[in-house]
Amino acid sequence: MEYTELVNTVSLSVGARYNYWAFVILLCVGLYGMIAKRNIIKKIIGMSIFQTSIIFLFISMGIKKNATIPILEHTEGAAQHAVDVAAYMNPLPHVLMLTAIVVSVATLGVALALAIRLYNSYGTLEEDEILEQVRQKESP
Amino acid sequence: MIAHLPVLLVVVPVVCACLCAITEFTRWKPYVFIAGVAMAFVFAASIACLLQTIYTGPFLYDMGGWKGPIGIVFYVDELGSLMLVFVSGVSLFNLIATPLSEVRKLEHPAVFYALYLMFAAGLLGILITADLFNLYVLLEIASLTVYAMIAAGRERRATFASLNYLFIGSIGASLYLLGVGYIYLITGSLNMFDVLTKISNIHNSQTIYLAFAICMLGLFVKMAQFPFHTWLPRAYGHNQASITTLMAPLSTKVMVYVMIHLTLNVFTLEYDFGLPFFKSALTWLVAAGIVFASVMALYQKTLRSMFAFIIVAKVGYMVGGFWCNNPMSMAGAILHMLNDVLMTAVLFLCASIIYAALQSDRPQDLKQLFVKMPVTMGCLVVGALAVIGVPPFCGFSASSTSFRALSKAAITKWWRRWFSQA
Repeated sequence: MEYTELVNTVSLSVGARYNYWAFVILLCVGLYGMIAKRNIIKKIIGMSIFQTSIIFLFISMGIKKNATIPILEHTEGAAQHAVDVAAYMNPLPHVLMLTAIVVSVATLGVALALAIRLYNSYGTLEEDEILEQVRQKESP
Repeated sequence: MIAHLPVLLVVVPVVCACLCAITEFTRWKPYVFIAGVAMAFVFAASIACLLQTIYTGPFLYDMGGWKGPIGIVFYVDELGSLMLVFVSGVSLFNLIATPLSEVRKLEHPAVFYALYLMFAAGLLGILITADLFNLYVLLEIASLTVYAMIAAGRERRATFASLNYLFIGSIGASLYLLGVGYIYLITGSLNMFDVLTKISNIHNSQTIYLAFAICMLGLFVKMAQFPFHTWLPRAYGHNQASITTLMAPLSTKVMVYVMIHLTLNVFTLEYDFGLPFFKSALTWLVAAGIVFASVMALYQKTLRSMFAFIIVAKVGYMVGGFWCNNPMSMAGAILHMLNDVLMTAVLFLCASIIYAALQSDRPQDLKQLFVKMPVTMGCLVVGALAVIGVPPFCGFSASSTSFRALSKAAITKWWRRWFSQA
């Protein structure tokens, strides 16, 4: 395959599905933060990014081109008329994500509360120092 | 009233949990009474559901009167209602049997009981919901309460273990949500029956394969299947013993139920076992996990962490048995799931009673305990024999079914051929 052809294919696949790429990159950033960082607050930030990336995927699948917000407009007197589905965005993923955002806020709240408790009992938020203290307590 | 039983199974514990939490601020504190009444009601309602499925077959409940794929539907089937009785029965029994003096040592005992009721509501909802997204929300309710309960003790290591569990658990739940997202992308539906009919036309789709793999990965993290098991011994081994008793028998088994439910009722068996790589990789992983967890259990310093590794090994039996692709091994896996709820409840209850009496549950401190606490130690022996699978106890039927099935499965054919050459 020619070089220019390759660039074309790649840019086309990235350009046409850019929401998926953004979601995957965010997911990997979040996962990296949770696994590689040793500070508990940074891990919590990573967890938040990880959850947000999935919310982002759901939000982006409801979007349609040239569509408006999903509120039906009735003309005066006409209670029922045919709904043009293509003219409205899909509201269901957005509504689902309202719940998922509440869940992730609750998770974040519990995580921060646990982090405060950890800081009060160990005096640090670095995972290595906490593990060191745990080991010192166990060994004698 | 009877027609609304499925939704009451979830609503009653949630409302009573709020009442329990309110007693934190009042002078009159009947939180043990409220929790007991709620769990007793749930147990009675589960038995009613089981009887109804036995006499009239599985039944649907439309939430708010909205039918089928549009509204959220609860579906009580045979296995689900049996699990309902087990889960509600064990959680009621745990509530009664947990030494109240141990729970009173916590800073906020009323809030602790509120969390316990929410946990039970989440698990019961998981068993009967027929909506994929609803299942995710209930799963997170059950997990968030567990994180809080683990951290409730005075042990500071428990807080650290709980935070680790929170990180791993939210990865698992988010992966499940991602899988549901892919299912929604390709079918446009979240209702399990609707997804089942729509998926059967597009079984060779890559998206369905990805959705299946990601959902299963998320559930494996949640149920502590072997490479993802690290959170479980830490979370169950380091806190006040009575707290572990409340959640250890239930949460992993309910996740195993979700796996069985999804693979049977959403993706169908022809699809699951048509996947070439998934089954064989999983069986070997499970075999490695059972050996690893059993060996690790021998090296543990306390009874509780030993039992925690036994749970990991038992999850291996359930997953492996289910994925061996023959009806008898699946029956064995389901029997394991049901029996294990009871066996781990017995083991952890005995450990928590011993811990309450001695303030330690290390094997070397148990000397001459048979003289001091004959009933507790007798129960511990019975529970241990059941886990081994000695004939008169409940573990025997599960183990014997599994082994008979395994002797017919493909994996042992390979094993026999290898031995006949050697």
